[in-house]
Amino acid sequence: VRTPITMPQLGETVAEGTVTRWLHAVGDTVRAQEALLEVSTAKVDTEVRSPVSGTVLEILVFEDTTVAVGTVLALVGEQDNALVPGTPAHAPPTPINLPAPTGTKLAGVISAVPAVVDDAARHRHSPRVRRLAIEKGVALEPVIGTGPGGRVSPEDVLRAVTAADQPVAVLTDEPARVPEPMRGSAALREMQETVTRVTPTEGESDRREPMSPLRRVVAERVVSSLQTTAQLTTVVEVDLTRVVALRERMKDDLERRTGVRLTLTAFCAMAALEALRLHPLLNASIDQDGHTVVYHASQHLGVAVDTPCGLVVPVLRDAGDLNLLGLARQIAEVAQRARTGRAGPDELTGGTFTLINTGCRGALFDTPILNPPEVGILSTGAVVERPVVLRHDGDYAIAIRSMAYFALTYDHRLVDGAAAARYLATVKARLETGEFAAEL
Amino acid sequence: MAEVTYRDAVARGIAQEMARDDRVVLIGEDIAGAGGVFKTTVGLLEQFGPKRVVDTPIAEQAILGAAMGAAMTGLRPIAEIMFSDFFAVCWDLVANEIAKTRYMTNGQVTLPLVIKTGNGGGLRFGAQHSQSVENWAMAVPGVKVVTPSTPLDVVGLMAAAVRSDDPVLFFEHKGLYASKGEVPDGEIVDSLGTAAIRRPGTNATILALGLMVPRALGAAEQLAGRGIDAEVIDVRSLVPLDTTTILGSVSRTGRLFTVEENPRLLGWGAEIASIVAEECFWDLDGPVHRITTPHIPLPSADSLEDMVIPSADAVATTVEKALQS
Repeated sequence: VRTPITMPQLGETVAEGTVTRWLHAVGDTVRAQEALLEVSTAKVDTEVRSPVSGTVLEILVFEDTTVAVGTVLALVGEQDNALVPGTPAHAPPTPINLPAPTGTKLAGVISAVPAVVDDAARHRHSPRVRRLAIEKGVALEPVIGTGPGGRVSPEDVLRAVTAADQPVAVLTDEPARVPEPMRGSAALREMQETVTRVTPTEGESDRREPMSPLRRVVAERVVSSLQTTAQLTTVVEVDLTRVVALRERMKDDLERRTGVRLTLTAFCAMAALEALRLHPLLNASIDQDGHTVVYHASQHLGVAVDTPCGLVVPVLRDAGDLNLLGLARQIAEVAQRARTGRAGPDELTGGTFTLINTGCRGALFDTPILNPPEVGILSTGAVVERPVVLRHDGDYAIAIRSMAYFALTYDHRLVDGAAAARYLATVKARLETGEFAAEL
Repeated sequence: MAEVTYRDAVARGIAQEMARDDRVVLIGEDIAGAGGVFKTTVGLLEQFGPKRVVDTPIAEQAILGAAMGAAMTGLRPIAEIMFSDFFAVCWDLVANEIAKTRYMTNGQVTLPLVIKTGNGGGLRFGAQHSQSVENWAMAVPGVKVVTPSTPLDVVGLMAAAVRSDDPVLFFEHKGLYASKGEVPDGEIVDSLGTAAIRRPGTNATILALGLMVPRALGAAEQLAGRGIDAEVIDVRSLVPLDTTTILGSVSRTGRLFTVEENPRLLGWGAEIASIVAEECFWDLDGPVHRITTPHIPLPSADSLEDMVIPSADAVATTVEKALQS
């Protein structure tokens, strides 16, 4: 009996996953529920366990290969004489973008493997496109293909020449080096030499490595966010003196009693969530049709967490229903899960508003990037003690106060500056009162 | 300038050369009294007499043997093999004798000889009378291979073939005999080894030969309506091959399609695909596609024959699909 090990469905919207590491080789004996390999998806990194005890008979997908959910990754079962241990299948699965081979069909077990969604396939370039890129001094990887299947067309290359400040000068200093027309292997060698001169900033000792799957996801999303929304950032200064004092007074006792460490982030989250109820426009999104506003009944708060692998934004479902202590507890829990790579896949989507603490490394403020379809993201800067002019009963005084900048990035398609400022004013007022004792 | 059928153009081209040079003679089955089984030699017996227009028994080896001997001894014969399929019964003379003589005599004996033949399908003649065998011919070093697709080219290329000092296999397409085209008055002489761009275009290069030329042009018209500007090249001459025109076109369009009536394996398009892969690989913007008859004997039934020989629709579909993937 051979049991197929398939790429698991990790979250509702996940269509593919990457094999990051095989923990066993062909011929190894595995026990039921023993981890067999590690996979990475757009949402989560996890281990895939063997459902049965047996021998790893075949490994069908190589490391760093992305395959569709359900793809057979390996076969585990009783040792079969026909299968020689230690010889993984050599033929990789058919990439999905390749036209179906005519005449011949891949035989045997490989043909049972669903097509691969190979990111690399999108970056295959025709000889003509490659040559054009070299002639024009255009780096192909960043060029967005508008041809069939996302292929880079010769026209895309020419557009890239006019659009970008490519290092054309590197080539034009010796135009005769690019033969016209180029023919034969001598020309190929020459092209390869030219390639190295196209990227003048890269030295021999430079290191190249592929971006991690998470990095690629983050990269795609931030670019997509900036390209599809109209982002504007408004900043206010918030006096957190009272909140800081309250926290100092309460935190040790609270931690002893409840095990929860009270953080400033929890206060900020509380104020941000309360303000969302007063300003529902910030807890809305634009429907995919582009002209319908969806006002979300619940507040699902994304909390940006810096992890060793990069930025992750776990979501607190129904965060608006939590009190201060609940927020502090749950933020700590999801942050911990995110940092250790154990956040569940559906824990990483579905937010309606995001909170990010820019200040934990001392930064005063930044202009955060929206996490669409959300229309608001609030970034809290470092809390610093600063001399501040206060007015009380018509008199002015200078005092040392705990101050922080709060920056709200919003989607100007839906939210105007005035609405953003009103929201920030509510957050500011809520925190400056410092009246959270009832929450504790 | 007159509108002339392809079949009449054959006779006209032969007559032009026979009138010009009395060393030119015509020999074959039913070419004299009957005017040719496809009526491509009508009037030649009357015009040039039985000494220069000679009927033979049904014996292809005798025809080619006589023609070869005549060429070796000072005449410039045109021999007809009625159906190109029948080359199989006299191939020793073509491949081993006619093609090799100039080489084996160190150039002392040349063979100024044209072998004209009715080639190709579409006329419901079945597996033994419909084949496209020009790729047999181009596989033999020592012969030139030409296939006209228009009446004008028939006249001009026949004249060029007769004037060649080396043997030329002249493939007329049986399916084109009834087609018509303008042919100017006066002497017409073309040159061997030249292709003709029938329709200039920018998005794809479609190479075709013989009957496939009008079909490729039909496909290009369809494609134009779908936003694809295809260039159609009539290859005309397989040996020598006009690589300048072909590679120049592929360099411009980045896409190559061959439309071949021959069965798929080792068709002429395979050789051109190979040359293109070697000579202008860096200009290609996609895979080369060959649109051919499958590797099967041709059926007699009209519906089946129409299904297997490349049609304008099939060409258009293939090109469109390839450009969209």
